[in-house]
Amino acid sequence: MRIRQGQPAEGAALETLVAAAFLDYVRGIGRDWPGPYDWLAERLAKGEVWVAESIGGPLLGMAALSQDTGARTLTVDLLAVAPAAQGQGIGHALLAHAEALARTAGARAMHLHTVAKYDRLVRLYEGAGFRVTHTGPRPKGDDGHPRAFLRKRLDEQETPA
Amino acid sequence: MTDTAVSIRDLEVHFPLGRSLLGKPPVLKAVAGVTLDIPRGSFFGLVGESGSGKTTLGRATLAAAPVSAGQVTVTDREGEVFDMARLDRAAETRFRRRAQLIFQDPYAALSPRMTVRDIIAEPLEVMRLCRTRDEVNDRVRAIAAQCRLNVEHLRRFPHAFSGGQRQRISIARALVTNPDYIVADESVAALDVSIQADILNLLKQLQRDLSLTFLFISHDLSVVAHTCDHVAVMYLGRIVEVAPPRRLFAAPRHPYTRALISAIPSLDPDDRGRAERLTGEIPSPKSPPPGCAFHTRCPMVRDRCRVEAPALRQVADGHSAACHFSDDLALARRRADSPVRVPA
Repeated sequence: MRIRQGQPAEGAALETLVAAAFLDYVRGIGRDWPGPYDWLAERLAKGEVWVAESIGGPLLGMAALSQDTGARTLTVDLLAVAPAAQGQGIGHALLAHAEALARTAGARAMHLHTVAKYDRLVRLYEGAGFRVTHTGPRPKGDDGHPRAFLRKRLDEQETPA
Repeated sequence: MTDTAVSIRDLEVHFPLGRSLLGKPPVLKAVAGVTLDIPRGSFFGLVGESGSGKTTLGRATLAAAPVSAGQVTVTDREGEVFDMARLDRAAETRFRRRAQLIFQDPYAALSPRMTVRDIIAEPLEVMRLCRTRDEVNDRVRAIAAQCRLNVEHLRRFPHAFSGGQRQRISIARALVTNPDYIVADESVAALDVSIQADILNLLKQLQRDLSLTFLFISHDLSVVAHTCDHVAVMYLGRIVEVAPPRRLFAAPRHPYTRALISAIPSLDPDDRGRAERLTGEIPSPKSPPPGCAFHTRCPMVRDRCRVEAPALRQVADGHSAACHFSDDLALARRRADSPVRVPA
């Protein structure tokens, strides 16, 4: 398995991967696949999408990352692993790759959020060193399913607020 | 009748722009006809881009901006009504205890030469609300504890603290006189995301414990969604929509609100992440467009919008919008909700 930047030509394949990876996720909050992701092509073009693939084989997973303007935090906007490849540490490998990028860029923390009731996902992120800072409504409008907001500090010396 | 803490009626706030030898001097209408009620005990959000007049509207409710037309009154919990246009000296002194502002930037708002204790105590001393120094110290310690500040911190200077702690100091200073109405202007904008949540939770808890009325001003709709029980959206000095946040996000009835919501970045798998981009800049409030102020940037503009300004009208219980075609938005929404097939 290796991790590399996603290519713009891989948009369609990644679209299918994300839709399949999140099928249960979106159904569990009473939604259906929302339709093609408008952000994917733009993020691929900017080099903000990283993919995991088996050598000579299919795509196994992807992570979309973004940095805030001051490069102080790196946000894992989306992390997806193909259903057949789940439970093999691919998510952890993508998160470790994101962390290495964040540290190189001098970021002080990594952020992400997920649906709070999905214990399996919250535990997966906690296993990667993230801690829940708070739960709150979905940032783009409350849908009745609180989101857990997690953070991993990359500098431990700062005094907490 | 619901108890109204702040009542705003047809408010206009004008700022003169230079002088003119002939005729009236030009004015900037920062607030151009706002009518709004802020219920007592609510956490009321006010959202808009910079230049929308949200800060001026907030200041007008603190007698810190001129009332050029219309009326603003604040009623305290004892029932005294303060009219912002006619505050005599004695009334102003009473009002200053009752209403306070929490500043935007916790790095700029605190004097570096004063200890935290002195910063928090200053309003008490300026207003002579305590007779003895011990009384001041007791009050400072009590409010510091409520704002989750450590008593040992009181002897230090603000530079020793992080952004979140400084904001707690600002909050303690604002609350030390036991006010009942608070304007928080971009109070978390300068803070890190997770610390923002912390401060918002603190404000919310203080609001409940001390039964405060909050006007929470922000440019960030997603921050407001967390905290507020009502949200008003402002554009070019006017209120374009008011609703409880859940309704506002689920079914916006003004195209400007819809565009603001769609511009919140999201790569959630349950969201297409389609951002509707508004074309052009926010027009200058010195020369607002005729008709609907939003028509120059509106994706659904029609001829009527260029000549006739829409009034804020109720579209559902607790939900008002100022758009001639707000019903079309409700219909468009229903069509978009039809299910989409999952790709194989």
